[in-house]
This record gives sequence, structure tokens and C-alpha cells, in this order.
Amino acid sequence: MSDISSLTISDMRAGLDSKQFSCTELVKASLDKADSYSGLNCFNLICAERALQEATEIDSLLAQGRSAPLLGIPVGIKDVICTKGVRTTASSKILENFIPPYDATVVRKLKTAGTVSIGKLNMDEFAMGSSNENSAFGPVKNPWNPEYVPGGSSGGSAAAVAAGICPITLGTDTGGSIRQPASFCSIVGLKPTYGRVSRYGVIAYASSLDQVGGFARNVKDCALVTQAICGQDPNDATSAQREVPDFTKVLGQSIKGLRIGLPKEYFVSAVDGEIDAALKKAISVLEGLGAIPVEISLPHTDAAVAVYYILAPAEASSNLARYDGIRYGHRAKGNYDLKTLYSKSRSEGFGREVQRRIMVGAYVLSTGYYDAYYLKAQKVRSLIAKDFQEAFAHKCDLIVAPTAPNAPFKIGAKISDPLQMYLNDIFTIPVNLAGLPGMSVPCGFTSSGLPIGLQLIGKPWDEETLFKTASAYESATDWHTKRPTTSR
Amino acid sequence: MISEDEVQKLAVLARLELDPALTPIVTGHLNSIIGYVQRLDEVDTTGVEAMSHVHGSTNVLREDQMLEAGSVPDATPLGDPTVPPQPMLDTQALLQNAPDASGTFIRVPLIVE
Repeated sequence: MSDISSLTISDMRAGLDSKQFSCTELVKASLDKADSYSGLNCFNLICAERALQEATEIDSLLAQGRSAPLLGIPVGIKDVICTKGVRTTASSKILENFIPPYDATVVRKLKTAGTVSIGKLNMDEFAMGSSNENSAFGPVKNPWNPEYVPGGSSGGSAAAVAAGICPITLGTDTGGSIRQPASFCSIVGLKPTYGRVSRYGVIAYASSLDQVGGFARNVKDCALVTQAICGQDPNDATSAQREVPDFTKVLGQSIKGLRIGLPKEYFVSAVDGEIDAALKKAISVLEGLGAIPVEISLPHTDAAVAVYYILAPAEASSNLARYDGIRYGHRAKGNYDLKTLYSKSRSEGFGREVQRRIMVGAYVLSTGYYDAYYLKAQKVRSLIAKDFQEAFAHKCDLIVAPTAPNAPFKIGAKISDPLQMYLNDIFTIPVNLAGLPGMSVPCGFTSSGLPIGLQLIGKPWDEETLFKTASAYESATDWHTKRPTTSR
Repeated sequence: MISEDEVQKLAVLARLELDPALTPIVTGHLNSIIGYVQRLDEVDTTGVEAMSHVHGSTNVLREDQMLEAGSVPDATPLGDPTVPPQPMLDTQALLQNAPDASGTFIRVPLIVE
């Protein structure tokens, strides 16, 4: 059987249920693939033994005739999500030996659904980054061209799916960390509405923005993984008590008459010409399917990156105060007084970008500056959310935009200029600030063969319209069928 | 503009030890970021409320529960899909992560002479 690890979930399901191959064979194929693509550096940890043991248990369930949408499907988990008994590092030296004593709720849910995790995926340290270059485990490479970044912070999650190692992975998205790498790797990625998915057991970066979501090579597989992780959780007070619809029901439905908002602030000269052209083509495809393009305005777009780089570092500086070298994590060697022990442990343990954001956070929260920065940013955040509310209330049913203003860039190209790196998230950040669901789907390639993503932004709790639109677009195009042919 | 001295003070507040050789570079980066975010000064926020939660939920409460460590079984494939409230954690499992432990205690350097 050739390359079963890169089948769609539907084909895996059929193969497993008809005993064409076993879960053990499927998991082995995934592990082999991970091994042959080790040069991409997708994984911080591969759990071969554990995965094969779980596969044996699932094979006995399959032998009893049991079936479920995700039973026996190999998955990968971003290394910021706690897995009981399996090292979880957030790609940081400060957590290099951390073994969580419990599973994150999303991991518990995926296990109950019957998936088998083959390992923990590389990422930017503490999910801070847009290129996966800020990892204590080294950068992840883009399967489409290993000289280029896969995007970040969920770079390993995106690259593993694009390379066909497993059909679905989990990532997290605080300012674009699912959508931007999905775009850079030509796959589907969804950040659900804030509150749709539990954050319990997810190592916190910026709690008012963080959300877990799934990556897949097609819209249906993305719907399946999203379905499995959504829902209220007694362990996360910010998870919402809301009915979770069956996302697969809307796949294949018509989008005739759907009003798609095109924010004029997103179609500007800052967008690379090839991206702009791909987006315009995608819009005409949607129009051909019966959707109605409407120009809209989101007047505070330009302020979003500034708001984010006040609020996210502020939240991070307080969330990361817990890493003090005392109870868990890296502790500096030597005989120091308490304060020196804290600062030595933290400076040895945190990478440069993390330290930078902690300091920005400490600055904007410090006495005398709180009102000017933090409070001001919270107010502008309200305005950004209101822009979206207005558009959805009067003009459109969803919004279409580029996922990123540029195609993947070369490893090393932006690392010395943090602000330039931050501006890469200009079109994804507003969605987190407003708590909306956002999705990236493949919509083309540059002349040098690098992927381009189409971003769909929905009303709060309306992931269904995103899935419906993405599925209609996918059936009218063949971008999702293209596979990287990179050398391993 | 933030000065190199202020950056050093900030590092102390954030419990970070800043290599003096790197201070000029870090200061440059912080100034470029802080300089950029100051564009918010131009946004009129008169009468606008500060947002701390996107869907406006506040003080979500539930009854406290005391669940012994190990009282909730781990997830199993096709097992009960209900997510249970998490029980207390096992002391030994927690201490495994401590950089230095003795018995049921975390060992730290001498703090009080």
C-alpha cells in the first residue's frame, strides 16, 4: 500500500473499516513519513512506541466492528498543548523537561474520538512568532521549498500536514498562528470563534486572544477535527455554553446569494501584487458560484497591529511570570539569592523574542504608562470589533481577504527586524482582537511556486458559513490537490 | 524614547537579566515597537469602553468541587465524551517536574539567613 499516511480522512476511514489496512499499518506509515521528512524539523518529539501501542488498542476496537469519524486517524499536537506523560515544551528551553501531569481538554477530546497522536509539533517559542524561527529546537522548513519559512507560530503543525505525515494536526492562533502557516503551506486552517474551544491545558500566551484550532489538507477533514475539539468545558470559564452544530452538514451546500464583504483596507498597495491577483481570481470564482461581492470598510484596520503588540505582550508578561525556576521548568545552577535565581533562570530559559515581549508587556503595564498604552489599546480593540459588527449587521455574511500580505519569505530574511515580522500578521490580528472565526484555504501560488492563502472571516459562532464557502470554493478549484514535491 | 538605563530597569522589573552587550540592540528593538504602537494616539477613543472580553462574559461561576487525585479516569478511544471537571493532581507527578525536590517538598536555595 503506497503512501496511506497522506490519504484524506474519508479514504482512511474506508480503508480502516473495510480492513484494507490496520490502524497499526496506518500509524507506522505516518511514523515512516515523519522519519523521511525529518529534515523539515516538524516535530519536537515523536512518540512512536506510545502511538503503536494505542494503534493496537484501536485495532481491537475496529476488529469488533466499531467505527467513528476519527477512529484510528493519526494526528499531531502543537507542543504548546499539554499531553499527560508526554513532554510538552512550548519550544522553550525553560520547559525542556516538562512532563504534564494531565491532558489538555482538546487532547482528551481527540483521544476519546479515537485519534492516535504520533508526536508533538515544533512551533515558535510560547507561540510568539510568524516564521517558526523562534524555537529552541531550531526552525521548521516549508515543505514547498525548504529554504523558506512555513509560517508561525504553528509552523510544525502546518508543515506536517502539508508534507502528508498526518491528515490533521492541532495548532493555536493568537494573532494568526493557524491561518498564516496554513496559507504558507497551502493547506486549510481554522481558528474558531473565541470561546468555541477549551483552552484548558494549553500553555497560555495571551489569554484573551488564544484559541485552539485544526489544520487539514481539505475542508472536510478540517471540519472533522474542528467538530472533535469544540464545546464547553467545566475547566475553562471562557469556553462558551453554546450548541456545537454538525459542521459537515453544510459542506457542499450552495453559496448562491451569500454576500461576501471585501474590506477596502485589506486590498491595498501593501499587498504583494501576485497575492492581490490570486485573491481577485478567488473572488471571481466565488462570484461564479453565486456569491455577491460587496465592498465594505473596516476603518480601524490600520490600528490592529499596534493594539495587538500592546495587549498580547501585556498578557504574556503576566502569564509568563509563573516561570521562575522554582516549581517546574529550568532552574539556573549556582548559589544565588531568590531574585537572582529568578532572573538567571528566566534569562537562560527564555529566547530573545519571548524576553522582548515580556519587556514590552512590563513597559506598557508599568505605572504611568498603563492608561496611555494598555487602556488605550483596550478601547481601540472595542472599535476594531465594532467595525466588524457593523459590516456583518448591514453589509455582508462573511468577509474575504488575503491571509497574509506576502508569500512565504526566506528563513533568516526578517528575523533581525521584529517590527517587520509583526507586520506580517496585519490581516489576521484583527480577527483575534474581535474574537471571530477565521479560516485560510489554498488559493494559488506565486510564480516561484510559493503558496497563497485566502482568508474567510465569519460572524461570531458562524463557523458554518466559513465551512460552506470554503467547501464550495474547494470544489470549484484544484489548489487543495497540489502537493509539495520537495526533496526530503 | 526609552533609554538604555530604563531598559535595564525594565529587565529588573520583569525578572530578566540583560546582557550589557545586548542592551543597545534590545533598546533599539523596544523603541521601534513602542514607537510603532504610539500610532494609537491618533485614534479618537472618546466615550469608547475598554474591552477585556470579546463576547462580554464576566464572572462565570460554578460550584467548587474537591475531587481526589486519580478520581477521573483518563480518556479512552470511544469512551465517555463528557469532559469531567479535573481532580486535584498527584503530588508525585507534580514533583517530577520540580528542578529540586525532597520528599513531598520542593527544595529551594536558602532564602532567609
